[in-house]
Amino acid sequence: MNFFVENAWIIPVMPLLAFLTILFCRSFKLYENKKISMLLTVGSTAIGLIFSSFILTWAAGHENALYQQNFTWIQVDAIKLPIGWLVDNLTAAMLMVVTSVSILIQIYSHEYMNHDDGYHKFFAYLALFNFSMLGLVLSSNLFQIYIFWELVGLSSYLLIGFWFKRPSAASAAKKAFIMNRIGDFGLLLGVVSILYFSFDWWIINNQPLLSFAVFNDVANYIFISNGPVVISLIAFAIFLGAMAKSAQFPLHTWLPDAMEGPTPISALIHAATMVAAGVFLIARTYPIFKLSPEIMMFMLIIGLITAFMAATIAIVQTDIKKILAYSTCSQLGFMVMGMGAGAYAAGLFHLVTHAYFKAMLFLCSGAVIHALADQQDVRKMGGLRKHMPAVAYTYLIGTFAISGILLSGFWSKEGIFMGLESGKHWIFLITAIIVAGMTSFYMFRSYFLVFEGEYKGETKPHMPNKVLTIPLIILAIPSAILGFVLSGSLKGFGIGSFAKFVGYAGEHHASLMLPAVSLLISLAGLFIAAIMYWDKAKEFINIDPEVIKNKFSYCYKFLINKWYIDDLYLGFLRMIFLPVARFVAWFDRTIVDGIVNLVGVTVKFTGNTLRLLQNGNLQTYNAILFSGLLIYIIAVLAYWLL
Amino acid sequence: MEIGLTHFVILSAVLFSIGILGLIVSRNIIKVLMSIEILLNAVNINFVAFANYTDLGDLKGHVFAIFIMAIAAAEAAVGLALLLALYRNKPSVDVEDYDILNG
Repeated sequence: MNFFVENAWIIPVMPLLAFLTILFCRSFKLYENKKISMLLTVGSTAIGLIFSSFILTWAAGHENALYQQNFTWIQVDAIKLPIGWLVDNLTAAMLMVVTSVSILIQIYSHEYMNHDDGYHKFFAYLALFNFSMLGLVLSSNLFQIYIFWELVGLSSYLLIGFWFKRPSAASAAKKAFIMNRIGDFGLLLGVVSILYFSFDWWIINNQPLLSFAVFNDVANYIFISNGPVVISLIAFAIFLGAMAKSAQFPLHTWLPDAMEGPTPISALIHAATMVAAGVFLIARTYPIFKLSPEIMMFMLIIGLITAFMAATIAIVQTDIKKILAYSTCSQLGFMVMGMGAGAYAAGLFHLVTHAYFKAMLFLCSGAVIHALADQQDVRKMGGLRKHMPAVAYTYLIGTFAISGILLSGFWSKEGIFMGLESGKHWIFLITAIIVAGMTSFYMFRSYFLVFEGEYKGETKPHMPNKVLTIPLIILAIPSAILGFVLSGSLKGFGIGSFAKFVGYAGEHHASLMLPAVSLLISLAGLFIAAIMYWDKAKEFINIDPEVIKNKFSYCYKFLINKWYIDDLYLGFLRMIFLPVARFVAWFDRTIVDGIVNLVGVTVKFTGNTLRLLQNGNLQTYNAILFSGLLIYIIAVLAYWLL
Repeated sequence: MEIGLTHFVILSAVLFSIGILGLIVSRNIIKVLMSIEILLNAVNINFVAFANYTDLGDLKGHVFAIFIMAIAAAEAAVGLALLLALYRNKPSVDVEDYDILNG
């Protein structure tokens, strides 16, 4: 067992090798067989999965499991930046999630991308992403996490813009990259300021710089020696990074646009793994956040706004991937809220369950889109349950899971609610439960619109291939039971075992009140969705969504325009940013360049003038020479005599 | 009238000025060379005069004068050789024709 932990570096390195092999060996004859790329990528991930399973068992078998290995990478005077890997329970859990979800998605992608020209490129990027994500998870220190943080951003950019010939995909990729840069800058500031404020501590204790293993002591040291303001600022800077990566308000707008990428990418990167990296980062640097109640409160507020806003927008979306994207955004809001409420384990628990069921939902939507020849509008679907039962039932399981009706999402959301309750954040708790109801509403809306009723599209849907459905069915299992299994017991509604596993165990409530209320609200959401969109329920009570839409047309307009946040950004860019940029450009071209040119012109002018003296005429030289001498003599004489 | 150091110095200064004037105003290269000789001789007179009047019993000034004569002879030889070489390229003895090194 120790072998796997001590050689954990193999997990990220294998995908890197796969990436390099696909990238540089493209001209080999072997690659005329398409499957080679897929096999390389899947094989590298499979090795990772095997390692992760053993690491998980190792971590589960140890109290406070911790293994780390560091090498000095960059050394400048006393600053020795290490690179290495650190295995603890959090790493083990994340490794398992990332490898298991991504191996299924890679198999799925083989079928999904089979007829695409960029098949090899796609798998190369997938392997690159795997490398960066696994490297991020295994990072032993904050500096290394920053490197991999940028790398996942890069692979996300490449994969969003995978169909870069479509202008919308190209600009969505750019948008994602730029939005993430804002957060990355915050993270960089955070990393540097932690190093700055705790440098003495690292030197005295002779620990590898910025290592996570001793983060608790470091946070305390910074708190004691520099006070609460500094620690709050550091926490804010790091949270900014998490905000951009985890698509939190107001930096969330890139995530819905990122749906321009291929659907497996939406499932892997923009639902299951990369967007959860923000929450992972918060979990990793949690000692700092714990010392700053202001930022914890801020996190709570941002999480709530994100959850609420994304849920409201998701209600009116008609693009199936956009619905799922906004729901991802909303669920990430839940995780951040959990973190902010101090329910550390619950936030991570939701991350894990969400990764499985949201990946599955996205893969279902991918199967639907594939079957309907790239149709993404839910209004042109319907009745697909008869054509693809496997997809429909797995989607239904996912919908139940995310809505928090008894399947895995229920258990993890419970944890977050309980965290909010024990922190006495009543307003947040009530709003969060309402948002959970809204989640249930829009998810069942999408289910009814896509899989129930009559088919409204033109192209004839065809059965999805087995390669598409088998990963769905495998993913359905954790989506259904993971919450129950990890929460540890049938009796108490708690997140006992998982919480114990990742540490920071919260209070264990046995109250049945909260789960009952949230379950009721979720069922209410299901009920409203049914009477609005399910033709079988409509026979009893019928509410036409069109009527509601017309009644609250202002509301609808507000939601369909995504709270006008994109327009706000555009306005900001046009009214403030571009004029400033233009002024700066003018300043550069006129003033700065002017000064540089002036120097040149002066030199040229002086040279031209002095050139006239050197006329090559011997007599002139002599005259100048001796008149100079004469002047000197006269000056000396005058000095003597006067 | 007793001839003293002052007279020699004045003679030397006058000769020197004539030499400079010759350097500046003459166009003929031969004249320029002759002006240089005059300059050197003005300096020689200075040396010998000062040696004779102020540095009694020592011969530094005289030796210097002899050295300068030798150098002047060598310089004249080199200068004339250069002149001949120049003349082969451009048949002219006017210094104003040799201004190709202007800036």
